Order: sequence, then structure tokens, then C-alpha cells
Amino acid sequence: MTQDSRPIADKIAGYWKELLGVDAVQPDDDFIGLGGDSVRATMLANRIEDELGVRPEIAELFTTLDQVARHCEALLAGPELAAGGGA
Amino acid sequence: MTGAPRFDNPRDATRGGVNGPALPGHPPEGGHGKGPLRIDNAPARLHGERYRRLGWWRDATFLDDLRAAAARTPDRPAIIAARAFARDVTTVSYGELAGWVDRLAAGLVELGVEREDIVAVQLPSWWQYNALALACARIGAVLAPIPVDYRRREVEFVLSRTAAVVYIGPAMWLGFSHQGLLRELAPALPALRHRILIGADAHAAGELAFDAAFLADHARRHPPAELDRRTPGPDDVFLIMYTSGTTGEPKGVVHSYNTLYAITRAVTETAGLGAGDVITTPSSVTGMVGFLYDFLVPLHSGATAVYADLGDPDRGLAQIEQHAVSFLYGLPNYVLALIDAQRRRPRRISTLRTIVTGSAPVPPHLIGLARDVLGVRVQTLWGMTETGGVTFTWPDDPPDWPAHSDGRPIDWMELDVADETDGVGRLRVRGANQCLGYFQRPDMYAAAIAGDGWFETGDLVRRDGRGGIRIVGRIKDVIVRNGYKVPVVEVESELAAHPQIAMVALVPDPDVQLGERICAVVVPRDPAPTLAELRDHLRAAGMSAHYWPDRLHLVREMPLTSTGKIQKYALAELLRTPDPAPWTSPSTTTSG
Repeated sequence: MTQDSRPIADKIAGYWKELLGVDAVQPDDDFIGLGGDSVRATMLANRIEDELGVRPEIAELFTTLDQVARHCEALLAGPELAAGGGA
Repeated sequence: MTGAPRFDNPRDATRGGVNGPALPGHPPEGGHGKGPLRIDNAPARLHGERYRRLGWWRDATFLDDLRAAAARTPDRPAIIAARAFARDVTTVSYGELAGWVDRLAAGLVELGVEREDIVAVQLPSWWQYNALALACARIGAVLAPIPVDYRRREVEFVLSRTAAVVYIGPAMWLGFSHQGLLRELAPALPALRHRILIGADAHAAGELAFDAAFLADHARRHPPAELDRRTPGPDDVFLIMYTSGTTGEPKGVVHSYNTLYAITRAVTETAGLGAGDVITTPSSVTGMVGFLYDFLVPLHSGATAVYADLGDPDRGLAQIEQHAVSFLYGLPNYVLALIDAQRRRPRRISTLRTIVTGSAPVPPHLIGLARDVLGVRVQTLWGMTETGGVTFTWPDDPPDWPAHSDGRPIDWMELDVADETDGVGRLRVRGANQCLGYFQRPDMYAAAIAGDGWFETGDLVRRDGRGGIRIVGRIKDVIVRNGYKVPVVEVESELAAHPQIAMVALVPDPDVQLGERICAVVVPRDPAPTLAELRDHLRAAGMSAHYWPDRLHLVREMPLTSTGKIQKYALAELLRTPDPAPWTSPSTTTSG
């Protein structure tokens, strides 16, 4: 799947760059590896909620960019598809 | 890596106690040790009698608090611990906790832990931390907590400096393998005999799974009467808590049961806490704030502690609602996040009476927002690891007083504002809360104490007009990021070794989320480094992510004093301007 076909992943990549202060991110970059912590995870969850309309749990954000994007895509697709999230 | 100072790691440290030898059946009084690893408990010698007479100290320890609560309310939850990633909640009643403490103590004895041996515990806010700390107390061992986000550099320093005989940690936490780190460090730590891991499956020599280390069988082999013989005295050392220094190495702050009792009483009485309270904090149990609000304060009152192992304001609100939390301590940024979360998804949190905040400047608007959105009174305090909470705002202060003051001192701590100029002076304190010293660094502690016993806090204050103080700045070169003191000198030294950096200075950058962010002002070599490269460099050096710069500002040259020191105030001023201009172009800012 290319970046172009995943607008949600692109948006989340943009939030990561802003919140973590990095110039570029890759799908397999890790939130913690880029200096992410619970304060930034809260800011990221708020940003996702404000702009995408779904709220991931903080614990779901401590993973790779690709996993976070997939989780948010699943939340957007509906609760029945968001297995493991939003408990 | 040239140019980076190395910690002085005394690898040949002799295994030994901190309090001095125990006579058989007679716990030592006052801990008047004399050897290189011993602590001279001068406060106990000089003031112990008076502090006891006034009730500031006592002839009991926190184990007596545990026994009292277990006898009075055995079924009351001592701890309700939620784990964010495991998605589980563990409730431990006071009766169960007392049982676990004996079992863990017996397991430590089985492993050969003796009175005054040091046990290092690096755990998130999990219930086992509380039980392990009390198990150490049960057998007179000394607890050395290590914050769970400390990495190779700091973990190695604490383990080697304390000559800890046992390390207890998570096998893996937030994507980091503590098991792997300890395997790497173990060969250079001759005193460290056992690494106990929670959640481990594979085991190398020297490793033990938590469950295997603490079998019911051990408790049968080492019955309560045997544990009783190891009971520490109230002036013995309980805790060596490492905190970032400003002079090149972390300081091991040493507290006795009695200094921690005075600290616990201060917090308990200024907030009016009792057995009916349910107390929570997102701050880690390995730091002084979490150690008090998740552990000692609820224990002393026989109250319930609600743990969360990840700072998540949304789940925090859910916990307040579900467990009828009455009292919360949070850094100002967490309280603001809690207010924001309540606006997004309101919960029924009418049980919450009081929020205490501190450890960072409190934005004035926080007080009114907490009242309007959360319906609670905010109390502020000032304190340090060395002193616990010293000044508090009180219920009889005006409602918005915490926006103007860091509070008045408790009866058993005196404060002094030294060398006041234009109303601002150095804050010095002394009294029953005060720690016993810095572990193995009496020189460093002596440098912070004046002849008449005043401890130099390093903070600059103004009097608040009601017998209290307002913090206005710091003497020392320190950045406090999300409640963590950043060891500026150490980080700068590490960065200075980067091949693309000619000169570097870390400067605090005020930030509503983190209190202060870390800005690295850098004179680059060609090509200039990126922020990501600076972070990679510190990660490779084994430095905690709390110390990584949030922002990079490139300059062509540093403003220097006549003696060649970097003028940090000039850099801080430059960064405060909305669009910081360099002294000489080109200059760019990458902001996080």
C-alpha cells in the first residue's frame, strides 16, 4: 500500500513530525524511539480526536507509526473492526 | 565519545551496610555508622530527642502502620493497580499486602539479603513496588528505587555506586528490555547477585522470575519470628533515592524511617487525609512524589492507593469515577490535561476533593479551571527529594492563593531567605524532614549545608506576604522537564562529543505541556546536525529520553562572559522572543 492511498496515515505522520520535532518519519518508526512519552501521547490522542473524530487510547500509541495508523483506520471504520482498541 | 565525563564507578565497593553492624537481637539505634558505606545520622544524634518530644519523629516505622491497617481493616483495598498495556487491574487488600510483605521478605532472606544490604527496584507503578519496599523494611534492607525510564548510563551508575545485591525490574517496559540491559551490565557489577524480573520467560545465570524468587515455601522456611529479628530501628536508613545532580553525577538522597515519617505527616496533615480517602497520582512510585502519594501517605493513613502505570488523563478520570478517588497529586501539565479530558468527556468525579500540584511552576489560570471544570480545590506545595514537601498552601488561604504562592512551611521545617536583594533571596530550609545526606558523597552534601544546619535548596524566592514563599528562579543550571530534573552538565558533555557540534548549551524553553522543554543551542560544524541526530547520539550514550532536546537552535557563535563561560541568560532571552534571531546568520530553529 502506498502513502498516497492512506490519507489517515499521512495525517498521523504529520502529527508525529510536529509533536516529536522530527523532519521525517517512516512507517516502521517507533513512537518511543523518537522521544515519545505519555505527555506527547496525550497530545497526539487529542489531535487525532480533534481532526479525525476518533480517540485512540494512550496505550495504543506506544508503537510504530504504521500500527498507530492502522489502529486509527480501524476506529474510523467502526467499532466492530477496531479489535483490541477503545476498551 | 571523547570529552564526556565518566561517572566515578567504584567497582571495588565492598559489600556492606549503611547503618553499621547490628548486634544480635538488638537493632542499632540512630545508625551511627563509621565505614565508607555508612551514614552518620547526625540529625538523630543532634535533634532526635527533641523531634520525638514534639511528635515530629516517632519510635515506630511504616511496618507498624501496615500492621495497624491490616489489623483494623484487613479487607480494605491498600492498592488498586491498573496496568495500561496489560489491560488488567489488581486489587490488594491490607490483609493481603501484609501477607505479601512477609512472603517477599522471606524470599529476599532466601536470596541472602542481609540487614542494610541495598535492593534496587526499577518498576513502573505496579503493586509489587509497594510490597517490595515494605519487604525491604521488614528485614532492614535499604531500598534504592531507579526510575523506570532510566537507561544504561544512569542504571549502571546507581547499581554500581550502591553495590546493590538484588535488582528487581520489568523484563520489558515501553519497548525497552531491562532484562537485556541487566545482562549487559551484570559482568561489571560484582556485588549484584540476583536480577529478578517481572514478566520474564527465558533465564540466564543470575536471573530469576518474580514468581520463582518469592515462593510460598520460602515463607515457611523463614517464619515471621525470624523476620522480626531483622527489624530496623526508626532512625535507620530506609531509602536511597537518586535524583539528577547539577554537578556531573546523580545524588543518592538518604532518608531514614523518621525523616520519611516527618515528610509523610506533613503531606497527610496539610491535606487532611484519613483512612476513608482514596489517593492517586500519575507520578512514578520511584520518585519522591509517587513514593509519598502512591505509597507512604496512603499506608500511614490506612487509605487506598490507586495506581496507573501510564500517565493517561482520560483513563485517570475513569479511575477517579470508578474508585471514588478523593485526592490527587499531579504535575501542573497533568492537571491541565485532566481538565481538558473532563471537558471532552465529562465523568462523575464529585468524590474528588483536592488536587495538589507542584514540582513545576503552576500557571495561575489552572486554579480557576480546576475549580470550574473539576469542582476541586487546588493546593500547591514546594519540596525536593532532600526535604519532601516543606511549604504548602492551606485551606484558610484565599481561594486563588495557590496562583500567587508556593505556601507556608509546616511546623517542623524552618525556612530562611538569605541575602535578599530587591525582595529576592536564596531559599534555605532545615528541620525534621531533612535527609541524612548524599550516599557516599558527604563532600557534596557538606557543600549544600551551612554551619548552622541550613540546607541550600538552590531556589530563588520572594516572600509572599503571608509567611510563605513564591519561587521565582533557580541559582543552579537546571532544567525541569515534565517534573524531571535534567542533568544539564552531563547532557551538554555528551553532546559536545558529537562530531558535528563545536559548542553546545542547554537552555530551558518554557512550555505549557512540559513546564520546560530542553532547547539545545548549538554552534555547528559543517554539516550542521539535526535534532534527530542529537537524540540518536544521546540514545546511543544510554541516556534517558527525558534528557533529549525538544528543540535545536543553531547559532554561529555563543555569547560568552569575560571568563569564557556561556551566558545562558542571554540564550534564554533570545529563545523567548517569538522569532528568535541569531547573533549572526544563518540560524535555524527546529521545534518539537
